[in-house]
Amino acid sequence: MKKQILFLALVSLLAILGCETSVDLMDEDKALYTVYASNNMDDPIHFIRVKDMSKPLIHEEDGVLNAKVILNNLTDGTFEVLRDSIIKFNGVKTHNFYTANTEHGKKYELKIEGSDGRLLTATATTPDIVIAEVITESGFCDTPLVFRFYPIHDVRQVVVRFTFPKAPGIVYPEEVWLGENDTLFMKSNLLEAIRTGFLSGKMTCSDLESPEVILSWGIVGPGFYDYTFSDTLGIPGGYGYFRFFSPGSTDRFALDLH
Amino acid sequence: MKYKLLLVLPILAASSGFIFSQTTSVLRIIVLEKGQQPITGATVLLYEEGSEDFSDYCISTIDGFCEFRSLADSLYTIRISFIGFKAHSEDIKIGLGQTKVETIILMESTSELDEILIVGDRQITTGEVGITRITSEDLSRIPSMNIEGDLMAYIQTVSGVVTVGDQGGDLYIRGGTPAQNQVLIDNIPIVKPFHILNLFSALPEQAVSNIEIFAGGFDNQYMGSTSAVIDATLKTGDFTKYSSSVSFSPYISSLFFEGPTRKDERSLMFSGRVSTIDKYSGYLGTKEQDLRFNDFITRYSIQGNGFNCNFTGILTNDRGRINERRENYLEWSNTGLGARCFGYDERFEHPYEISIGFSRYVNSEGDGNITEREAKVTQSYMRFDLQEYLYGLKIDYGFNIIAQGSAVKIDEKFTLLNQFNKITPNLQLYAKTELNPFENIQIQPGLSSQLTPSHPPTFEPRVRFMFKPLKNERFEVSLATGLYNQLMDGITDERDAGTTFTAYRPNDRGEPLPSAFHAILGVRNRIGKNWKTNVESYYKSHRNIPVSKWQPLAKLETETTLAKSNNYGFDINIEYSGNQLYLYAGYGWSKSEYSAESEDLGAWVGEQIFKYYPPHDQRHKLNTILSLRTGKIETSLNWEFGSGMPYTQILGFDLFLVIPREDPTKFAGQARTLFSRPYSERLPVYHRLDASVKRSFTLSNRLEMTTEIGCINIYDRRNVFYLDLNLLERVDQAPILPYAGIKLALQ
Repeated sequence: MKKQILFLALVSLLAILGCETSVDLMDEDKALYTVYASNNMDDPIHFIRVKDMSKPLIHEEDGVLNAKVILNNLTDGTFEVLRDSIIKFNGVKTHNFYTANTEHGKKYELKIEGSDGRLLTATATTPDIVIAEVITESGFCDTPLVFRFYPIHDVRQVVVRFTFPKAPGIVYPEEVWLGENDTLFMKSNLLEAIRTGFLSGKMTCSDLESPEVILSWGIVGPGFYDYTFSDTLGIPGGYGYFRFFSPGSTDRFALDLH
Repeated sequence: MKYKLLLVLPILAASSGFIFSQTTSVLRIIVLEKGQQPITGATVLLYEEGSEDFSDYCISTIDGFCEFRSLADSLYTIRISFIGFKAHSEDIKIGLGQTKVETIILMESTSELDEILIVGDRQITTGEVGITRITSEDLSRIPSMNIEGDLMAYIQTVSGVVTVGDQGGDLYIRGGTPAQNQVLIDNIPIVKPFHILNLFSALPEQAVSNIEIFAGGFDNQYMGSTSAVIDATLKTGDFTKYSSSVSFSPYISSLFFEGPTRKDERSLMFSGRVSTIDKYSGYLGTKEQDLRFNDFITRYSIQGNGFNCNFTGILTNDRGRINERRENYLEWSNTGLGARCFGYDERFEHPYEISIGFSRYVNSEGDGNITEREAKVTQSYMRFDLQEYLYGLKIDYGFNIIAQGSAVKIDEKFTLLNQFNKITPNLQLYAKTELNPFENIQIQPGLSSQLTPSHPPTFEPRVRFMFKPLKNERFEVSLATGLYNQLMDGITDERDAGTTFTAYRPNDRGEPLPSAFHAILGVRNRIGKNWKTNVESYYKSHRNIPVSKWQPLAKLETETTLAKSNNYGFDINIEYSGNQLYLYAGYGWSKSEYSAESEDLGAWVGEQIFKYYPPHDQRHKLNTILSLRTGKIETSLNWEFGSGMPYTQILGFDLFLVIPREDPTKFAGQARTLFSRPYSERLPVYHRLDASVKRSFTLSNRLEMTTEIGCINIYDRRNVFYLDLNLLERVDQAPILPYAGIKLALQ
């Protein structure tokens, strides 16, 4: 009995002494890739930055990304294996894949297939070609403005900016807008809307009497806005952005507010 | 008006203790050792004339003081016992209405123990739940890379005490963080008397008389901390003869001196230690360690007629890098000056204690040339501890007037901490009493309150309850519970174990005060003369703890948010204490969890965080100690085992681009590290065996030499300390560390 106890004690001690001391610094099951792509549909070539998250920067000097990057056009059922343009910044090589084949109004899936089996997918829909019209160009200071963008599937696809002489940039938050079919209405009058903007309280009605108002906008694909303030824009397990936008602006026009 | 009250209160309160009103006979005993230093913890039994059973007892305090009241005009016998000393018996005649003070000097015992001498501990213990009492002998049993023991090496063997590695000097006690602990040395609040190497503190064996660790449930006398209190009393210098010693080891050298400056009346004790680990660590085949520290403590004692006063000075300095490959230097220093007087003169109806002092703590962090962050805490205090009897009840009460200053230089990690320098006045008040409704039941209720300009007065009721079901001193069930508040809080970056920088700040931001509820239940049992067991279970709930708000990115500004923590667990300890052999085994199970007080605790990639296990959440801890004394040789073994503590994995590395403004073909992006879910993984188990063999040689009548050889981490276990997210590497705790030491003592 005594021998058995001693044996058990010895085995227990050896088990403890020999137990594992290694530590996984990286959460390798979760470390996939970061993607940075926010492309203007008007540009002829679209770049998509891809980085292996498991590689510290010091290891990026070899310039190898053991992964294949594919852009699937889910709308048409076609695909393109993207080519890498390696650009070196202070010894660190970055991988910037590019394509010249994106089209308006299509749904794309970016697929990164690592040679070690890691897989990351990200989806984005490119915006349609949108026509914008300023319907209300005159009225009083408290006249709600009406703009028309079409075709629009979701009011949140539009980010509008006014530029006034005294206020170089005012972005209206989406709460300002009401959407009805393809038309956007301001919920409130112009002055009140401005006051909810970035320059709240600094402008008066008289400040709006200017013939030099410029309306500019950005149109993004449907579903984009859900992720605008997220770092994981439609990239499960990854990090970064994969999105497209289509900018536009009016010529200078006057708001007759009297 | 409030400040006038502050001035008047001490005078009123103090005067009540000085009023001479002789209504009962009182016997006051002062228990001293041969050098006239007080003996703490001696059992004093009082026998009425002709009786074989003692009628009353008391335990000597840190001043060696013990008091019996309501005595008759009679002859009494007192019997005093304490480990290592010959039992003392003496008849004392007390007259009616007399207050008598007797000073008893116990002589050291060199032979077998007397029949009433209790081995290893005092005979009578009450209400010990949550309390660990440590003597210098306890410290000497733990190998500590030096010839003399140290509090820091010992305290890590106590169940429920956790360190997150072998460096940094931070102690987590039953789930409480270092900022929630309070350390008092001769009543001087010292923020961090622990050195950067976790085997050393400013409290070495030879300079310490008595240390009490209150792991929770402490009574109302202690205010200003929500988790634990370490109350240390320094050694009083010998009033009769001089002695000194020097010791050397590859890691630390020390000088000690004690002796009378006026025989039988005044004495001085000095202890100074300087680390040499940065110079010699590489010569022993171990890695070089860039750590430097020193500590100097002194105590000047006056033994008067009916009083004693101690003047204490403390200075500690630490500097070093926890990870040698990282240019991140940590520094901290403590300065403390204080005076404490205890009066027991027979002309006064009650004993009294007055303390006054100042302490300063500075901690900083930088790259070695530039200090990037710095935080200071200053504390000036004047404390009165008094006693009164009301309707037969002994009331211990007192107050503490504190001016707490804190200064922080702006730190990018804590955006809510602006650069500031503030002094906050506090008044702490307490009263506690003792009820004995039955022979075997004792209840110690108390109430305390802290007053500060920024908050309403705190309300902190506490109670300690003792029950002796067998109506003897061997078996005791105790309960301690209460509410606790803390006026100053400390914030550290828990994500980075490579730094211990803590920013202390007064809570004047309109947030609720950090608070805690403690409940501890303990069962102590003494079996025979040598065995002792102790089982405790505890629950500690902390509220309003400021923590760094979690963000998925390393090296990014961090806000603070409020968290609450639930901490619970149990400890089982068994101890054998014989003349030559000492054995101890302690197992502790604990769980600590932080959760959001109201909102969230931050977010990691794609997900908000509402709860996590903090990095000091250690589930299992086992400690065993063996100490064997054979002749002049003392062998000690200490084996520690701890389950892995939580750590955060890295999710990945990134070059962040602000798109579309930053074109990926023209900008590299900002390098950054992404965290995974906070503390979702656990480090491997930790275990370590330390050993030492000590032998003393008598070289002459006055000169004694002691040598020690030992080894820390004897089987060279690769214990993980932490994962350095800045360098992306694992940092291990100390490998095998052999050492040798020599000490020369001159009597």
